[in-house]
Amino acid sequence: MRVYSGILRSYGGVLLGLIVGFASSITLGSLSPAGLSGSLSSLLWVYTSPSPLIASILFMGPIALSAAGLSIAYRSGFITVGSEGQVIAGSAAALWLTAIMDLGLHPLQAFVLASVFSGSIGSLLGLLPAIMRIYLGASEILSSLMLNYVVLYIVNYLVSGPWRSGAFPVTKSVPEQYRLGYVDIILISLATSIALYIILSRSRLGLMVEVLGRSPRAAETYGLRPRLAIYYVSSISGFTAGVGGAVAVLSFQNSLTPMSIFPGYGYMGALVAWLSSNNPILTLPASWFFSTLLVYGGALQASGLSIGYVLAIQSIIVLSVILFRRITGGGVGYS
Amino acid sequence: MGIADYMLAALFYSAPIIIAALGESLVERAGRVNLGVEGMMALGASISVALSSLTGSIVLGILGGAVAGVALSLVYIAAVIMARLNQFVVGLLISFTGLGLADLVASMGHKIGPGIPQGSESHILLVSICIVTPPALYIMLSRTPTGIEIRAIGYDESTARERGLRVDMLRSIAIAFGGIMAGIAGSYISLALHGGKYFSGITAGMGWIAVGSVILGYWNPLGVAIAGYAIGIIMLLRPQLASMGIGDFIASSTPYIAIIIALALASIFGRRSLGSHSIIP
Repeated sequence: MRVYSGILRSYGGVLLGLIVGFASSITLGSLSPAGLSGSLSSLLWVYTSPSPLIASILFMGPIALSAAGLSIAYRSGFITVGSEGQVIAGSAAALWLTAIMDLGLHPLQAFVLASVFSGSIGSLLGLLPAIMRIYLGASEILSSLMLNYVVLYIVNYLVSGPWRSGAFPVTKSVPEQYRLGYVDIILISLATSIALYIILSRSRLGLMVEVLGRSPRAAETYGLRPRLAIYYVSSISGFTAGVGGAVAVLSFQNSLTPMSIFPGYGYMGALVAWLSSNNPILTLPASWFFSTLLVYGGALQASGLSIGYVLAIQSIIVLSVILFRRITGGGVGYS
Repeated sequence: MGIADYMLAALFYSAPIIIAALGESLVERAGRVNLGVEGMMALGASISVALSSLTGSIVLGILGGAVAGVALSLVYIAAVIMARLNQFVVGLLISFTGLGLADLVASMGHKIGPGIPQGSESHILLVSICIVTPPALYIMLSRTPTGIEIRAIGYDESTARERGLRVDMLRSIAIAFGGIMAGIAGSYISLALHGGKYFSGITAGMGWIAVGSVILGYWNPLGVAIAGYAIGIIMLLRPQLASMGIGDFIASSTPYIAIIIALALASIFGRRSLGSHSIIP
């Protein structure tokens, strides 16, 4: 019986997520100015034409990288949503390095340097909520959320002030030779997911994360140090989200303009981690599915919808899947 | 502009934060944190514009905003109180859903109907809500049996359960009240602050600021109202600060930095006076 309920939970969850995803995309799309026929043809276009498929792989970069890092953080019970700000900061850092400084590097050197730089900035941003949680016991979710806004305002200031390149508030673009293609994005996301999976399943840190997520008291009894684990998971998730920002700017974003609302890649990363039960391998297909919805939303944007509408569809998917998992037996870690 | 005019303008500006924060303070007093405020505000803002332009009535628009807030808080009640899912995760999901649905409602277009009457009634109606509610909520929490029960379930849930209090029922009522207030706050933003217009990102983080104001005001309705008002003054001062040479981004991020500091202070001093409060795990 338990085997069957396990199968029901995992496959049923996937099936339900897909059904709810397509159903809500079509229903909500047909309420928009695009109408039923417009939303159906956009949805078909996303999964059958080469250009939206390539676009979906490019968008997958920042989502999958944030999600992979967050899945390890959420397993330890550290529920941060700072990835949104970390992606933005990572984008700004990579843009500064490649477009504004323009050191004349070899493309591979530029990518490695930008990743390390953006990732480190993301890690630093991850440390503040971690320190507040460890020493003061303050909820990391609220502090990371507030920090996202601070980051957004700082980057907006840089983009519209010192980094502005002409009459309009736009920065310089990343030079052609540094740009990443969709094959690069697949390789980077795959490598990150596998690396985090190995950390989770084979390393001492992985064990620490697992025990900490299930019972913080047991972790201390066994001589594991919860504080150290929180430092690790916050800087790992910050690092991958920062790299996600670098990848975004090196692949599809290329230049930055002031943002009035959040781009949402980091938040989508959090949604993907929740959807895929914090499994770093499962975050890959889930991120790709979510970025196809993002491309679909982009197609509907022409008829006057904002990208926030996509985040709504994705949230409805996640909410129904975690409710389903709860009803069919227990929850995972963060429940 | 004289100082009195300025203080009044700040009140107009901070009213949505104060209204939503008062609702959220009751939710948090009852032992839950609803991070869905931003989404409930956005949906309230969008639906109230659609309804008032359809009917020509501001009051119906505000009511529609309140209903939108309650609808989303029912989802929260189902997921958090009934299915016992993580309150923070569900709150965020509700915020994202509300923000997206608000844009959808706005895109559906509402050109039919008499349009939104322009005038100051909506301002006066909504500002009076944020003047009357703090003392009313304060008296309710400190003097009435229901208020004391709500504080009890937030302070020590298991003891309250043993004493036979209907914890889930009381908590759900508090959450629904939070939804009504967030929805009304949203309708204030679109109907009064932006002259009957809705656009994507209209709430501009005011919902998160409202959640933070509850901490800043230390969960006391009077303190929460003062905290919301103070943030309104800061936000209104932004252009002046920018012209004084202080970067706009410093002024814009001040409310968020203040909330981070307040969260840190509340975490240090809070556990003693507030018991097992849920924002401080």
